[in-house]
Amino acid sequence: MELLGDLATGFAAAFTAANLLYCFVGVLLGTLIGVLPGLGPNATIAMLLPFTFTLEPLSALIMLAGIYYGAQYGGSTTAILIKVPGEASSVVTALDGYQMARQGRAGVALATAAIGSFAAGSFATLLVAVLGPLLADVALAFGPADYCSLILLGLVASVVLAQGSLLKAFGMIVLGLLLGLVGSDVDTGVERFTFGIPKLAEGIPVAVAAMGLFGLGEIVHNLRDEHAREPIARRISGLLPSRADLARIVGPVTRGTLIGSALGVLPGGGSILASFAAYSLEKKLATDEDAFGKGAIEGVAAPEAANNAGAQTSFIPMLTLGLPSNSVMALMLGAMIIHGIVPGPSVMVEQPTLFYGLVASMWIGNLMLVVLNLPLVGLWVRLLSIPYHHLFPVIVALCCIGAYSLRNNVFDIYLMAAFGFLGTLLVALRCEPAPLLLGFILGPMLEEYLRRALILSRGDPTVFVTRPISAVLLALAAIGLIAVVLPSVRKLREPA
Amino acid sequence: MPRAVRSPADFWSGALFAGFGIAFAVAALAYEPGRATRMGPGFFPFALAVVLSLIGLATLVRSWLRAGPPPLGLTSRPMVLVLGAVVAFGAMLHALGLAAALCFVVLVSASASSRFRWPRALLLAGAVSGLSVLVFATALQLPIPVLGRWLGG
Repeated sequence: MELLGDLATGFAAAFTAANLLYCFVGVLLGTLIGVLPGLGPNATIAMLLPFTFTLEPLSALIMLAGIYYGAQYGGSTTAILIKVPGEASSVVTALDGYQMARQGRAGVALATAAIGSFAAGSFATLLVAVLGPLLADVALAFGPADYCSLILLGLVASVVLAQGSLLKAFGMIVLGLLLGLVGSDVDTGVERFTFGIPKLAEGIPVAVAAMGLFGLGEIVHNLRDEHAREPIARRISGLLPSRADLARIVGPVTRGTLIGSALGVLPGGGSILASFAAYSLEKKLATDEDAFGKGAIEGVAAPEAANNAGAQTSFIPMLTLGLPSNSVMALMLGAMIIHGIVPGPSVMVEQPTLFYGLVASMWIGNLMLVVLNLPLVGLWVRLLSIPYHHLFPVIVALCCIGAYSLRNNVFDIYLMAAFGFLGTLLVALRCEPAPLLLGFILGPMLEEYLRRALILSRGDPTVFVTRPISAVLLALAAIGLIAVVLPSVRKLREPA
Repeated sequence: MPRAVRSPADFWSGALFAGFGIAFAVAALAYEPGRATRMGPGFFPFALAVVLSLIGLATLVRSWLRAGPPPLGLTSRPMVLVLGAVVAFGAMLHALGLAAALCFVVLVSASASSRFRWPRALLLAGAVSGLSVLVFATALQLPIPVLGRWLGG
């Protein structure tokens, strides 16, 4: 069993004192931001990115990854206790979780969420370890033209699977692609769209764009209407689900895990879509559909399993192909590039310890999260009493320090403010900023692969349809586009 | 905005996309487009900018055809205070140093909240500033000026 040997290497790498510590810090921060509404993994990872410079690449990735999946656990706590989803991926959990809490079953709901998340996380982590090398092998056969088509498919899929206006999502992606091109052209060295500013010639750092768009943009948005959050004084008792409860959640957790794992791999999928899909499936399968929304335990178990599974498997395309499937993965890719790792299938071959170490740390992190979230839930509840007007100035301050530390340059602080303005504008115009970040990181990659593909084909654009891999990927993208204008699919995309 | 527009948020999004698209397209004209065998630095950005302009145009057209919600209204006060505080932080960092700049950014951005109270905000600013200096300058040894030029740092 080669896999076991590789996993053993991974666990050895993840089990050093330093990496265990970074894993713990990551999941702790993840839970924290998950619990606190108004601060998401995008902004947090972007803020921490500059400070991971000094760490080993593996330690940095372990910590940043922990923030992402840790937020999936934390987000459910507030969804259940006060019906305020800490993260977008816990929106559906709030429906039945909060009802369970009102019926005095808050403890059971929290335990269900944690158990479901852990089971899903363990399975999905194993899936990453198994599928990663297989996909990397396939990817080694990819030429530049195939990569081009794959990126296009990814962009199309992320638009198709997202909710809201198709047209606007496409606009956001193309705007992101263009902003990503700011700086020196890799091939010719020509400085593009830099207005003669030397710092812009090096390109816009992804962390600066993300802190502005998500960190500052969200803050300004949240300050639009400040309403007092409901204080909760309820004591949580009866954490352990009964045997009957456990029997009821086996099915939903299994189905949620499978749906989440599948949707997580897809571009634009990730944890949010997974939780919605899992919830609607359980509702369709249920004998008593009316129980949903009134405290059905299945309505907590399935989406929580799905969002955590999706969070883990969304690492697969990022680690094996070097292609991010959502904005968090785009930031993780940025972290790898900062550490001089060239993303792509070669990572698996050249740095197996990095891959398997990260996978192993994800399982360890999931275990830590169960402990963090179940016995310590009272602590997190108390954190909820931190009012937003104390929290957001701290976030603004941390964003400022982060932007400066990235390149020790004041210009990046102004750049972040500009992206904050853009983010505020976009949110006001009801444009979701996440696709912009995806385009931002993919812009230079798409141009480079397009250029190389055309050089190899001597300028013949038919290469995209004559190469079988590329043709299939483009066909899939076309099918996705056609499907989304069909009335039946359109209806599915309406917000739940 | 013309009266016939039925979806104001779409109208302004379309205008934004089209504006960015045209600006990028004009700027991209300055770069060599190259040939298909060897794409120049101008080719790809120009193509993208044209696509973005078309998306903007389509969004504009749609704002006449399909009714939609209004934009969420840009509240200028929080935006000016928060973003202004960030810009000011950048402007004063080298001159006054991290400690003072942090106090300023926390105080000013905090005043964007309707629940702003001076004593609490001062306390918060002091705590954030002190802790950050300890964590980032002392412990992590980041090269940030703690006391600026004007304060003799």
